[in-house]
Amino acid sequence: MSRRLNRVRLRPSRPRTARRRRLQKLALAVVAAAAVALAALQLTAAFSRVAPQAVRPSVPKHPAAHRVSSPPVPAAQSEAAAWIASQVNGAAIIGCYPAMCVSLQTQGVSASRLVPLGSTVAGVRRADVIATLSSADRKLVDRYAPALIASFGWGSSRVEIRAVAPGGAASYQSALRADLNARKSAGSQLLRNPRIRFSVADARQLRAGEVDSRLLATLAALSSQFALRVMAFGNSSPGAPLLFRKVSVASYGGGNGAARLAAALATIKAQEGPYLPAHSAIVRLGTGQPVLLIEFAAPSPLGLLAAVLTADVR
Amino acid sequence: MKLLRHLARLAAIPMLLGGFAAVIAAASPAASAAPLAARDGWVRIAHLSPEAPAMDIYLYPFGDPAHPTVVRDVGYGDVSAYMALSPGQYTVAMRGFDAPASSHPALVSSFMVNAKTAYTVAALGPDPGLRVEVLKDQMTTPRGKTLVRVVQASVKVHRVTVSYGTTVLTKQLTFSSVTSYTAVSPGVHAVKVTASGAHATMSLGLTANTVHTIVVLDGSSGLKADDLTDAVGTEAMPKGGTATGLGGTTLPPPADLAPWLPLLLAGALLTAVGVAGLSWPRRTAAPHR
Repeated sequence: MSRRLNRVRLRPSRPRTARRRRLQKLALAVVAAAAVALAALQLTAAFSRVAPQAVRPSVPKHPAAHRVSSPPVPAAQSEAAAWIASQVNGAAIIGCYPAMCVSLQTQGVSASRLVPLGSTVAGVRRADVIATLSSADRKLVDRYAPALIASFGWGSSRVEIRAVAPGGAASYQSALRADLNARKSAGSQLLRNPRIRFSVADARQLRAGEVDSRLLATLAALSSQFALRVMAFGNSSPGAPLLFRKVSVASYGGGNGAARLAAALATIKAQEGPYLPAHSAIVRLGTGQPVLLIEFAAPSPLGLLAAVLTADVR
Repeated sequence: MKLLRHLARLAAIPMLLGGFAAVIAAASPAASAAPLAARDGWVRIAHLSPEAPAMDIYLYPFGDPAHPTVVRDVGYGDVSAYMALSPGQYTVAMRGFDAPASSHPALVSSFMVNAKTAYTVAALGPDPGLRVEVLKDQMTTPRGKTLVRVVQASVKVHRVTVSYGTTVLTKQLTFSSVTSYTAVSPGVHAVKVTASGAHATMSLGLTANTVHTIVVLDGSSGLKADDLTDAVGTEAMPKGGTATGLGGTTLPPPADLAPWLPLLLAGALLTAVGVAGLSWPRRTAAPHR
């Protein structure tokens, strides 16, 4: 009975079946289109997140890739604003174009730390760090803020975060060279320290002068009290020359490693001035091993390892 | 034959003594200091922050921070003698006076000690807000001249003008500032420190080819000036600080034995010959029994 009834019901639906198939095809097409659109959106978002960290801020090699991966201006801007809020020294005065100033305030940066950038040099010179579009006046930027410390996005919509060099570009380049040499020298000396262990990769980074001078001085001082193993140096500055401001260290040797790390953290938190990190905490790795994370704020100061007043003779 | 054995023993004793003496001489700190002195840098510590309490100052070498150089109980106006340090990068840290070495240090600076170079690590400025400046000290002078610089470490007055005889060393020098060195003619002249509402004078004899730092300090009543000798003549090592009784507790660096290796070998050879000489008669005597 039921079979018959079914047959009865099915027979008149033949024309309807064709319609249903068309509807099914349409639905499939809509779903496929939606999936493609979603994938494209996610791809774009992923590029805007990952690309600045993975690639140097040079002109993209493939023009087509440039067109595809170029994020909308607000995305790069909001990423840049979030980075400044979390990574830049909390006492730094920030020069910004109007829309960026708004984004920075949205991220919780106090208005008292913001200086609007105009077409003149006055705004730049009042700031410690500036956030500009790459389409901004290059002469002004290159002359007074030659130090790129992070960048987000691509092409003309790229947002650059730069440290202001009060003495100008030439003086900055000279100080940068001296600082790099000092970091290389200090890093190599730290490798001879019997109370700190480094991996081969970390050792290479130390010798290359790629580790922030505050980290070097801090590790040297910590090792006077604790035997440490550097797990990794970390870079938190996308789209800028490599300089590790972050390190994770574990305790090694016998005894209570967690207690030693806690004591090391207390020492870190007791610091002031340039030696007080922006972030420090003890976290557990996936293996359950506790590690001490230390991260200093951007920009990295120059000349900290060679803070010697020269003996000039008049 | 008996005479020969006696002679051999008599010869062995001075050989042994000479051998030991040579080994000891080669390994002694005095022997290792000579080549090191040519290679070391020199550092002295100065507390020039009137509001900051006495402190212990640590210099941690990057390569071996388990053996810091420590200067204890450094109070306002104290300047340590120069301490010889191996060249290399150091982190400067402070702890409160008599605080245990396991307590939290305050990192204040980091600097590179170069060979044959002298430095003054000076705590300057108000407290809180104290900072440490590392001053490179001049060790040589223009022929027949005296070099003088000024450190303004008084909080009683904000700006000072300092002269030596008729030579004005600095005008309106602000608190916690340091001047360059000025070449002056040697002699005995008055150092005059003048400021708004305060002044100080002291007589200072400066000889040729010496280097000095005049520090303006807060005295018990008004200002006072102190003279620190940075270097004398053409000595390779700087002259040392004021007699403050401070001293470094730096551990002696490992001795460089390379130049003494021939002497060591000679000493060892002499000792071996001496030992052989003492035992030879017995060995040779046995077959005769």
